This record gives sequence, structure tokens and C-alpha cells, in this order.
Amino acid sequence: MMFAPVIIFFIIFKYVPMYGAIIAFKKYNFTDGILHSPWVGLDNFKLLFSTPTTIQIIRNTLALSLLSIVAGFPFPILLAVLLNEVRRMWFKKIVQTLVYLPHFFSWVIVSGIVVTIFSQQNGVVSGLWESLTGRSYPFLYREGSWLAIFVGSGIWKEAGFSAIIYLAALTSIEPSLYEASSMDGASRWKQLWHVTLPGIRTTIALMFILSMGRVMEVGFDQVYMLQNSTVSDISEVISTYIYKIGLMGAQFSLTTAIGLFESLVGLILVLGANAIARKYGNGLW
Amino acid sequence: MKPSLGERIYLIGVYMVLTVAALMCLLPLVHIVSVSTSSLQAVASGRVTLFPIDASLEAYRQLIDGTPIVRAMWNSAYITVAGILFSMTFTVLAAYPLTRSYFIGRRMYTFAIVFTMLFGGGLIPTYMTIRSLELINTYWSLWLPGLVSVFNMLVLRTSIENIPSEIDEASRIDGCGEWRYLLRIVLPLSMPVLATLALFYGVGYWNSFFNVLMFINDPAKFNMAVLVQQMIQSQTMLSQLNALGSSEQLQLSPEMVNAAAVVVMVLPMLVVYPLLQKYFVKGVMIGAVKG
Amino acid sequence: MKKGTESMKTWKIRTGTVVACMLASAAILVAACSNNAGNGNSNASSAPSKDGGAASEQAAKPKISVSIYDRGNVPQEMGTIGNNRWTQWLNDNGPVEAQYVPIPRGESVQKLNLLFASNDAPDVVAEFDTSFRHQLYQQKQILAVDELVDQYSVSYKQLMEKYPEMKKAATKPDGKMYEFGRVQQLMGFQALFIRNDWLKKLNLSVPETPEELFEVVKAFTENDPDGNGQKDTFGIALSGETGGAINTMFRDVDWVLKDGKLVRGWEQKNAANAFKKRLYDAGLVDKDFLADTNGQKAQQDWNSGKIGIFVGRTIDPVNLTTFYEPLKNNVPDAEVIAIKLPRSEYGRFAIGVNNPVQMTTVINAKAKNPEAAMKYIDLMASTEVGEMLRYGQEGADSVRGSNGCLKPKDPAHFTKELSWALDFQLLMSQIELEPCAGILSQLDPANPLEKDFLELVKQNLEANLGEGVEYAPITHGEHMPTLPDELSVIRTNVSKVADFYNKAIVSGPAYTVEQAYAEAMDLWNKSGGEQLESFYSDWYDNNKDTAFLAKDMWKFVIKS
Repeated sequence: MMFAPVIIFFIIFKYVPMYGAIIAFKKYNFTDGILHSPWVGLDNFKLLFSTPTTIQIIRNTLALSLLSIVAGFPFPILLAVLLNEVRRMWFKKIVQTLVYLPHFFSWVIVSGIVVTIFSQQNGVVSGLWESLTGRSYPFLYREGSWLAIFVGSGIWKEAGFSAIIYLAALTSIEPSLYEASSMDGASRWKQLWHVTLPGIRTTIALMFILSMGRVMEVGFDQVYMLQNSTVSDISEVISTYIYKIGLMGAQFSLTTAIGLFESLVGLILVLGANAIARKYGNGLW
Repeated sequence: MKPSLGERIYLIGVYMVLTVAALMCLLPLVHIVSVSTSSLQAVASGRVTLFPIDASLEAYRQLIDGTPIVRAMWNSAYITVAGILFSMTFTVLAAYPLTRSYFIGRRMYTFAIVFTMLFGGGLIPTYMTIRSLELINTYWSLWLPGLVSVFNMLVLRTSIENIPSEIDEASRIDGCGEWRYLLRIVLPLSMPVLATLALFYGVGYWNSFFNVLMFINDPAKFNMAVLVQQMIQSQTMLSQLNALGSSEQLQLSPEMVNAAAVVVMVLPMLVVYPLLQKYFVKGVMIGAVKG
Repeated sequence: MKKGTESMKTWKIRTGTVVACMLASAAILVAACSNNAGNGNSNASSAPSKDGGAASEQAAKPKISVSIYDRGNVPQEMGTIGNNRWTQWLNDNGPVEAQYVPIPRGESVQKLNLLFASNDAPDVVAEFDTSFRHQLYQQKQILAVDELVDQYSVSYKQLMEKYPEMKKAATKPDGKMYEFGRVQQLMGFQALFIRNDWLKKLNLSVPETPEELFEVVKAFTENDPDGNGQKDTFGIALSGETGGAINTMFRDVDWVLKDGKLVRGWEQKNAANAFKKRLYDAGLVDKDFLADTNGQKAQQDWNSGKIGIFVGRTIDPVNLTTFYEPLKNNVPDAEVIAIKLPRSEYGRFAIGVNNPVQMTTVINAKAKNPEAAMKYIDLMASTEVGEMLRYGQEGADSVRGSNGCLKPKDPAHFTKELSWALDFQLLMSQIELEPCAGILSQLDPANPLEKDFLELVKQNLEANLGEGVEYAPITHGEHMPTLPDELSVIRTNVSKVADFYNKAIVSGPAYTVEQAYAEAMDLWNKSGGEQLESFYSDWYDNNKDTAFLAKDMWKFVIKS
């Protein structure tokens, strides 16, 4: 059967290496290796959760990530739907290519752009703000505005790229459905709601469930490049924390424990999202 | 039929929003190109905004002459093209059976596969696996561990599921076998999604960086992403190292090399994408029917 | 556990066949491409190689593997970092045949971790990261080398006799020596640059105290020193290394000596941040310094003549092009001097110096032939080899300059042949090549810009190493003790203290330094900061006579 090589692939490259996760319950060292390092039970988790900052970091991770997902989720769909409305081929192609570009910029570059725009001293937006209100506003150094910038830059970077999936899904909508609704005198706006969006419903559900699995992984680069001291109360997340721990020497067991915790939360959320989606007939399994 | 006033406003709105979005994405690229083609002095003093100052292609000349970037580009292309072929093959093989209603245990398999997206053993065991298969320092170490992306596989599965079951039934009556059905009916109907996934895999392989560093030892086999990263780092590290410098090499700031490297990395992606776009174009045809 | 090993075995057997299948199915697809890969390989190996005679000689030499940083900067025609003119030269002329294992510089620790975890690590490992080497020591992955040095070393032994501090720096807590390194002359690393033309124009003198510094900064910001009629200059930078220098001015270096004990310097931290806050509140610095994480914006401002006081470096000729040349191009009349840090109530301190005794190299505990590894290290530490790797062949690559020192014969040729070979010099003690190795010998007084910078280097030598200047920390960061795992987690957790203080700097009256201090203390106590305190103070009590401290660093000052 054609599925056999796939099963083998997943076993060898995904399931077998999973034994490595046991070092979360061990004190890993090179000499003994993964299998023979001494067991320490839940010590790594205790160390992790006993520090006063941990709760804050987990809270931040969840908050930043959910905010990015919730706020960012509609944009690729919107972009795809809008592009779908466009009939001028050249325009569609150019716009599509341009919005797909930012995906390839590293966060170093994006953060440079953000600072140019929002810096207090001579940022473009700050200048505008100052001429309107007469005062400068520290956009990068207030938690609220920083959050908006954080989420917005993520949307800017990824919306165009993510829209591709929806664009592909849109092509599978039967043209006859549009014709029919057009005959019924439905406006374009109505068609959007009654034909286009239902047509990509399954894709939307899929993307939503999968995004839940990534809730605990706020991209390291994004936070690391955008954060500054004044917002660290809300910007310190698990990945930046692991990075800091890693700087002080390789803590394999500890970082694996964190990873395991992240995975567990992701699993719970995916199961939950899938359960909801199943109620509407769009579950993954 | 002439569009109504409401429709016109709607369309104008659509075009305007898209134009603004496109401009927002274009300007930074223009800036990056300008930085990479300006003089060191202009860049170092932050005078470069949208247009190059004292334009020169020195950054690119150094990239091509001073570094193995041409070799790296070939490696990247090789890794990407072969990687797409392998990954697409296996992704289809994974996704298609999961859409067959008679395939027993497909829910379990789906869950088992999604599970691997969430849980992993970490770098060391993956390395050990690849090592025990004696694939270290070969490109197989890049292709095999990432052969099937769960995300991509599910996208394809969803799209295959959306093929109306009447088509399946019709082809059965015609005596179509499983493989024939897959190759003749399912794949052609899924072209837009397949093109998308090929793009996603391609971008992934093209940008693969960390795995190359960890699993490939021979610098002659490095791809562009690695080389570019190394150049950026070594430029800044130069000054940290207590070393002889030759002023010849320092006509460029790390920022400029970075910019030039971004351009070189992004350019192929920019060229390839419009070629793939024709597969998403069907959506436009719908619009044409409407008007 | 047993079950685990069993499953691993079965999997190994199975994977053999599986991969065969997978490969077979893919083979057709790749056939077209594999040509290409073949070419790549042959390119690498076809780098210039010596002929048969040398090769047969090599066969008798013991083989070892050696790590080498790969920075991706080897020109294509020179081969690769692991196989090139210099590796061949070393193998032809040295006592061993070294096989080089490239380690990507940016991810070196991760790659080495993998190699150690899978028993693939090279016999000789070079890594700058002190805590990584210490981790290898703690996990018993590296050899104690006292006997090896005794028995098999010539040049390294001589070096150690000449500079006993090398042993001090290489000795681990169990009293044995584990590391090899290199010795350099002590130099000014960071320099406090100030625009002398601005001082003159505004009739100011070089600031000697923080208070005078504040006044100069204020004048630089408000009195239009560049004379363009706009208030567009900053007196001083707060980001990057300049911010660090202000901390140093107040001896805010985390751990300080008090009554012979090593303690946390909160008072100093408060003083430094209060000063920064004053600068910020008075509008004398870039309001966005917090967004300028690595100081690049400040450097741009310095280069375009918009900042009056800035910390740059004078350790390497490269620094001329980064910190001086662009400024002179943009503002030809600019006049720069390197000054001492002003004297605060805590003393007068060096801005920043290099690590004169830098440990770089260890021997893998699993090395099959430690003797050969030692001989390789000995080779790399010898002056002749060091000179060869640094300057190439005399006559072909470099020539003697008027000062008797070797210098590149043709800059372009030299860049191509040698500039990327720096990482072969991690065991070369530059001090042995003096006066021909440091920056002083490499700048050409005939070139006006280089002449200016030479002057700055000398001024900075005085600013850092002159009379009455103290080193603010007890020793260079690389010689501080490495924390055990639990404590390094604590240190990570309390690193947030810096955020409180930064917040205080930019928050005006809403959040003061005192408030930051209170919050910092609270976090410190809750996170177990006192464990760090006792660790450092115990370490100092027990090791103050044997550790490599500031006074040892100052033995490497060469009076010229």
C-alpha cells in the first residue's frame, strides 16, 4: 500500500527520536548519554516552575501568541478574498508578489524598519503624532502600543505568504455557484459571504486548528529583535527565556523540559480546537 | 451588465486597500536594495533612505568574487529542486490514503501524524538517528528528516477531500484503479494546492539553515542561507578578533553585505513566484464569468 | 532503560532496509542531479596539493582530528577552511597529520555539543566560549594536560615558563591544567572618544569628573557645536559600549570588592543609573537608545558627526574603518581624542582592555593519541608557525617594512591568501611577535588617517593603562568562575534587574532609580540571589591567591 513508506518515515524520523524527550526527567550529561544519564524525576520542572518569573513568562507567551493568532488570522483570508475580487491580471499578479515579499525579510531587517517608523526621536509616525498632538509619544516603550506594533509587524510580514493557501483554496470553488448567485441578483458583497467564504471553510478550520498547536512557540526572533527593557514585563516569552538560559551554558535537560511543557499545552489546545471543529464537521480526525 | 454604483465603490475600495498593502511591502525592499548599492560612507552615516547614494555594485562584486556564493547557489538550487520532488512525492503518498473512506485507522494515523508536529525528541536524538543511518554530511540528512511537513500534508488532504465524490464514483465505474485515479484525476484537480505546497517546500529548502549547519560538515556543500549568515557574522566578528585586517575587505559594512545578501536570497523567490501564480489564476476566471 | 536500547537496535536493522527502499525510489529522481554534487566535491579536493613525495611522508605521521571555525570567508579558489594552503602546509611541516573538522562559527557551541553527544568530537577542540569549555571539564570530556605538556611539549612548555600566568588561567578547580591558550600584550580595547574640535569651539576642557562630563554633554547638545544652526546633536551615546562605559565609570560591574570580600555592587549600580537618568531627563541623549540594542544607531550618529562622546575601539586596524574613517569623510574638520574615564566617587577606571591570557583550546578525553594532539598544539604555539600563519611566506606574501616588521606585500593578494586564516592562530601568542604584531606596528604613519588613528591608539593606551587607572572588575570576564547549572538559572532570572533600571532611566518622575532598586532587590531576594552572592564570595575567598585576577592582567603591559 502506498501509505507504508509514509509510516516508516514517521517512525524513523519522528517517533524514534522522541526517546530524547526523556532527558527532561534526567540530569543529562555527555558521558552517560541520553539513555544512561541519571533520573531526577520532576526536578527540572520544579526548578522551572519555582522561579517567580516563570508564571509571568508563560502568561506572556500565551498572551502574545493568542493575540497574534486572533488578530492575525483574518488578514491572510481578507487579502486572498480581496485579490480574488480583482479582475485585472497584471494588478493581481503584482500585488500578490509584493505582499509575499516581507516573508523573506529576517526579523533583524523588520525591526530596523519598525524603529525607523516608530522611534521617539525621529520616527515617521512619532513625527506625525507630534504635529497632531504637540507631544511626542513613546510608541516603542508603552506596553499597549508596543503590543500593537508587535502584532502588526507579524501581520505585515506573514499575511501575504499565508494568503497563498487561501488563494489556492479559492480556486476550487465551483464557478457555477457564482453564476447561480449572480442570477439570483446577489451583490458582490453577498457573494463574498455566501459563496466565497463558505467555499474555503475547511481550509480556514484547518489553519485554525494547526495554529493552536503553535500557541506556545512565539517566534524567538520576532520577540528578541523587537523587545526592549521597558516592555520586558510583557515581552519576555519562553523562547527568549530559553535563549538566555542557553547563553549561560547548555542546559539540555532544562530546555527539553520546557519544550515538553510547550508541546503539552499545544496538544491540549489542538485537541480542543479539533473537538470544536468536529462539531461543525470540519475536524481533522 | 454595467456594475452598479455600490459595486464600483466596493471595487475601488478593494483596489485601494491592495495598493496600499503592496506599497507597504515594496518600500522596505527598495530601501534594502539602495543600502546594498550605496557607498559605505553614505550607509554608515544613515543617509540612505529610498534611493542609492554614490551607487556602486561593490557589495555584489565582493559577494561573487570574494566568497563561494556561486557554488553555494548551485547547492541551494540542487537541495531545493530535489527536496521538492521527494517531499511532494511523499506528501501525496501520505495525504491521499488519508482521504479514502475505506482506509481503516485513518483517524488514528492522522492524529499520530499531527502528534509529531507537537512533540519532538530534540536535536541530539535526531542527529543520532541520521548518524546511525550514515547520512551525516550528505544532503539526505536535509531531505529525509523533513520529508513530509505535517502542515502541508493536511492542506493537501483537505483539498483532496473537497473533490466532489461524484467524480470518484464516476471514475470507479470507468474501471479506474487507485493509482490511475490518483494520477489522472486527483493530482490534476489539485494543481493549485500542489503548486502552493511546492512553493512552501521550496522556500523551506531554499532557506534551510540550521539543519545544514548541524548535519553537513563539508563547507563545500553549504547552501546560500548558511553562507550568507556566516558572512554577516564574520564581518562583525572581524573587529572582535584580534587580527590583521586588510582595509581592502572593509569597504563594506556588515549592514551592506547583509542587504546585498538579502537581495541575492530573495531574488530567486521573486522570479519563481510569478511563474507559479498561473495556478492560482483560476480564481480570476470566476470573476470574469461574473462580470 | 533496557527496553530503550533494545528498541534502538531493532530500529537500526529496520532502517537499513527502509532507507534502501526510500533511496531506490528516489534514485531515479536524483540521477540527473548527482553529477552536480560530484562536481562540488571534486572542487573541494582539487585545491592545490603537494606532490607525491610529501604525501608518502605524511602516511607515517600520526593522524588526529582538529576543530576549526568556519566563517564562510574562504575564497573559492583557496579551497575550504578544512583543506587549503595552510592546512597542507601544517601537515607537511608538522609532526602530525591533522584532519580538520569545520565548526560553523555562529553555531559553534551547538555543533560541538552534538559532536560530543555522539562521540564524534575532534581530538583537539578550539572554542572561545569559556563556559562551554568549563562544561566539558565538568562532564569529564576533556583531558588534564599537565603530564602531556611535561613529556611532549617544547615550545608550549617554554611559553608557560616565561608566562606562568598561563598555567593559572588554565587550571580548573581540581588543580589540574586543562586548557591551552595564547598570550597577548595588554592593550586598550575600548576607547572613550571625544570631539576635541567641539571642546575647543565651546571653550570647554576635557571632563575629569562625572559632573564635568554632564556639563560637557549638555553644552554639546544645546550649544550647537557643529555650527549648523540646528539643535541636532547629542552630547553622548547611551546605547552599546558607551552605556557600558558609564557603568564602568561608577564601577557598576556587578561584583565588587568591599573590605576584602566580593559582593554585589548595588550602590554603584544605583549611582550609574542615576547619572544616566539625569542625562536622559535633561534631553541630552537619544530618546531611543533602548531600541538601539547593539549600538549601531549611535555609531551611525558618531560617524555622521552628531554625537560628541562615544566609545569605540582601538584594538585592531579594522577599528580605523569603523570608528574614524567615516567620521573624517563626513566631517573633514572633526578632531578626535581618546580620553580617560572621568574619576567618580568610586575611583578612576580603565574603559576596557583585552584579555591578555586567553584560553582557547582543549584536548578531547576520548582522543586516541593524546601525544599527537599535544604535538599539534605545540606546533601551533611555536613562534615560527605563528609568524607563518599570520604573515605567510616572507617574500611571496609579505615583506619587511621600514620598522623591521613583516607586512603584506600586496593587500589584495594578502586578503585572498591569508586574511581568512585567523582561526589557525588561536594558539599563537602574539606577545612573542611584538613589537611586530599589535596594532601599533600595523598602522602606517605615512598615511594621514592611519597616523591620526595611531595617535588615538597611543592616547587610549594611556587612558586605560596609565598611572592611577584601575581595572573596575576583579578580572576579565573570561576569567570569572563559571556558575553551576542551578545558579546559572538564577542568574538568568535576575538578569531582569537591568530592565528595571532601564525603565527608570526613561520614565521620568513616574518611576525612579530608587523604585527600580526596590523592585530589583525584591526580585533578587525572591529568585535566590543570595545563593549567587555566597557563590562568588566563597569563590573569591578560596581562590584569590590562585585565580587569574586584574593584577595578573597588568603584568602584560609592555612599556614602549
